[in-house]
Amino acid sequence: MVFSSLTFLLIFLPLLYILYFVGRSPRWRNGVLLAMSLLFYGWGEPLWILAMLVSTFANFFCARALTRTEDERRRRAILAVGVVFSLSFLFYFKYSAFFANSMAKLLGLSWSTADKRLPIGISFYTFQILTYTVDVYRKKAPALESPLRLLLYISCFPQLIAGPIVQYADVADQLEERRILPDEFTAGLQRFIKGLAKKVLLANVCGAAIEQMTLAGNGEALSLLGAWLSMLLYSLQIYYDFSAYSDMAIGLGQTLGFRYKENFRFPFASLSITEFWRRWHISMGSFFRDYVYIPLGGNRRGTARTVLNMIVVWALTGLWHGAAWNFVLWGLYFCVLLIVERFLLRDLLTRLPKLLQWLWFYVMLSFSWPIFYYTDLSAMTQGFVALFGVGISGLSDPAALAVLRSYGIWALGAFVLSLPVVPYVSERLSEKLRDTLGLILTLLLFAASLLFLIGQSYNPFIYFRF
Amino acid sequence: MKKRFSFVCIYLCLLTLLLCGAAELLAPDKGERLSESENRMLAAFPALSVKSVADGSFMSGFETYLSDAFPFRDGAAAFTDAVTDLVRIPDDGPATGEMEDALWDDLEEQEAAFQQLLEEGRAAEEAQSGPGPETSAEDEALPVAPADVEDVHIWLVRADGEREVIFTYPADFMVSLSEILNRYRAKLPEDGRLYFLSPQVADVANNIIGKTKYVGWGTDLVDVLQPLVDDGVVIVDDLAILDPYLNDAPSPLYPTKDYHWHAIAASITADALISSQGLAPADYDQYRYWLSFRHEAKDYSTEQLAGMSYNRETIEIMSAISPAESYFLNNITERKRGVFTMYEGGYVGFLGGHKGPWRLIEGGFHTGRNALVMGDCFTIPFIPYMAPYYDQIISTDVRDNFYSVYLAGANISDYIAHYGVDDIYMMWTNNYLFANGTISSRMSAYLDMSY
Repeated sequence: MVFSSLTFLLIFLPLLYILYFVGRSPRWRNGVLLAMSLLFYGWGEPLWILAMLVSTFANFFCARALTRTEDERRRRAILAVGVVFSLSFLFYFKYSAFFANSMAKLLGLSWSTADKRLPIGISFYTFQILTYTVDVYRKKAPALESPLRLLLYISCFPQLIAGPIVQYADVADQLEERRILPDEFTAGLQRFIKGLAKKVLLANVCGAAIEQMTLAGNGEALSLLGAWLSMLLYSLQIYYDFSAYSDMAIGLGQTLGFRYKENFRFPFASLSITEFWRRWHISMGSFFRDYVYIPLGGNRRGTARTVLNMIVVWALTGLWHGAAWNFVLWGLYFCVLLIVERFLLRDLLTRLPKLLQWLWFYVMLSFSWPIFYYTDLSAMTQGFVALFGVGISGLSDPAALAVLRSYGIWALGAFVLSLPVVPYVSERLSEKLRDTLGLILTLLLFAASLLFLIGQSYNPFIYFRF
Repeated sequence: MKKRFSFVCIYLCLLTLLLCGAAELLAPDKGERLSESENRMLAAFPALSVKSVADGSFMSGFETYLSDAFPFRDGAAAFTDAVTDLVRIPDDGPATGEMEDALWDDLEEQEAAFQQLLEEGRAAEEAQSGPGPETSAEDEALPVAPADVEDVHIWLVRADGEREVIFTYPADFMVSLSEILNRYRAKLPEDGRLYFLSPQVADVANNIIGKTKYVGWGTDLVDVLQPLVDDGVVIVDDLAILDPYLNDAPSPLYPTKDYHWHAIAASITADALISSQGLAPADYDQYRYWLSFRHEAKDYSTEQLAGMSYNRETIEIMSAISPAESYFLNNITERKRGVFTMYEGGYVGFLGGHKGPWRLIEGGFHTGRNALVMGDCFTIPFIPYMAPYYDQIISTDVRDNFYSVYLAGANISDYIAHYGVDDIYMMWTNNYLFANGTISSRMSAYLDMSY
């Protein structure tokens, strides 16, 4: 089920709130939340619940075993069992075909294997399971007494299938008891509506524009305008799609008493690639920092080791997004940029005017989207070099112009809103005016989103495939 | 106070959702219904079973049901369109250079000129003889069908093999139609053929394409109509031709948002007709390779043409085109060269669109045969695939917005005789022909009307 579906909005959400608030005890509310979360996850592909259950319970028992021994070697062995078990699920479903086919190609074999059907959200919940076992191992949080409580942490529907990746230590207390104030509930729903509007009114519209360009292009060479327009629209679609989901997840969590950390902070307003990754998909960055980069030694073992650690982390970051070489390249592309910024350009960049800093960032970011978008390497190369005017069909083409006419104003609006314009304006308003406008805007966005949702058919969430 | 007001407003949002959800679930009619505005069956409440839940088909069906059953669905769609149109930059042509500008200026002139001609034509008709030969199904009593003539059905085939009838057309109408077809056939030489086909629109096809509930479609049109018509009239089962390709075509047969079909669907249909005549159809890809065309020394690639859009979705009706010349034929301007592309209210046609009211397409291939193609907009992408097999193709669309008796200047028989038509292709989508008696009345009236 997706948040922007009518099933969720008209049936699931009202039913959840009725059931959730009809009882006051934490036990009742956790029970309702767990049952509804499993329904949410199982809606569409109920059998995949089993994969999540097996992985969850395996790690529950590993964590219990961790609390029963102080012997460090045994504890490491138990941790390894839990981690390998969870990752093996992820590997089997997401990466086995990719590695087998890559290996076959390398060996010159004609044999190939088909991709497995991917359990929805497996990349997200696997990481959450890992944070539980590792946090218990590190004694940052106590092991849970009940496997159902762990299942609630893993399956809690707001963040289950597209993040943000919630670290166990951050919500351990909230799993026990949550206090929900009316103002927080209101703020949470407002945040949810904001996310819904971003998804329906911006991400979907950008997606429809890209779909139109792709259909019109029919696999032929792009024009220069088409290449840049595709790139801009895709970057906006992916940003709004994903940040909208995070907004909805954070908002829904808030209405249920959970406090999730922010996942996006206006990433397109960054002045460097380094800053961008502090603002984009923050929960994933935090996960790789806390559970991969720092355990590898971080930046405390000399420059060479730091660079090596960064390469490992960014190759994994790329792979996390998809089992294809373009994602690995995409991760390594950012790795190179981060290394360059860190060791070569740090002083130079900070001395430049902010506009030039932003241009550096935005152009470098732009070049990453074709790598991310095209899973086929030759199409990726074609899309990438087209940005430089190589192999293009011309400066413009009717398809790109048609998209520009239909969606140009929309895309421009979406781009402006991706910068911190609203907070800038909002800060300059009186509190009373801000609240009133905020409420009016929320109600208008709610109505418009609902109407768009019903009136349009294009509604996929990109990040589910990860 | 302020916070309480916010709280109330937000709760009202939730209450709205709850009421909408409850209204949909408690609605008494959960069966399939025909949406006349979309010309498709709206989804019924899905059957609940262990299997349908396990394979997810219940959930996807439920989602579709909720969307289709939403009470203000048409209003929501209108709102969406209005908002997107509001931020749309007005379309004044592709503007990709001077040649394009010239082409589109010319096109706009032609469009304006035709509209003016049409108005003048209608005024002249009324001045001469009052309202034209407009008749409707209600005005004319249909012949009563013999008892052995059945109604015609169009159905969707469910995954379990069951047929689900979506349209039924009465036997009486089929008898009437067969008489019209026989009259047209009589105008052709002995070895001539009249091919009649009735393609389905995208909304019907899109019940099957990419879906699991329905796996195919069918009709008994041929069984019912073929026995009623004379030799030389061939009733074509267009649904059977396209059925194998619905989910297995090189590119989509139909758009998802638009009503028409893509060039490839027209191509597959044309190929089947060509093959049935013992001729070798040209490969679809070959067309794309052959065919770009020139206008005032400027090449237009098929991709450029294909890029034009309607309703925010690309319609690939123009990606195939033969090296043809197109002319408008009418009583005033007589024969006037037409531009190949016609952008009419957002709908991209080619070979002059429907204007004229008659159009002449010279294929450039000397086969010694000529054809008449009569039908609605589905003929536009169809004609190019027939062009290599005829010296000349004349084409007309007798719908109200595209035809004027005055501008035609002669009846259809005269056109058939003047251009030495050997074969006729009649192609009307079912909702124009079967669901609306006006078209058959006009086909009948315009054939031999006196001038």
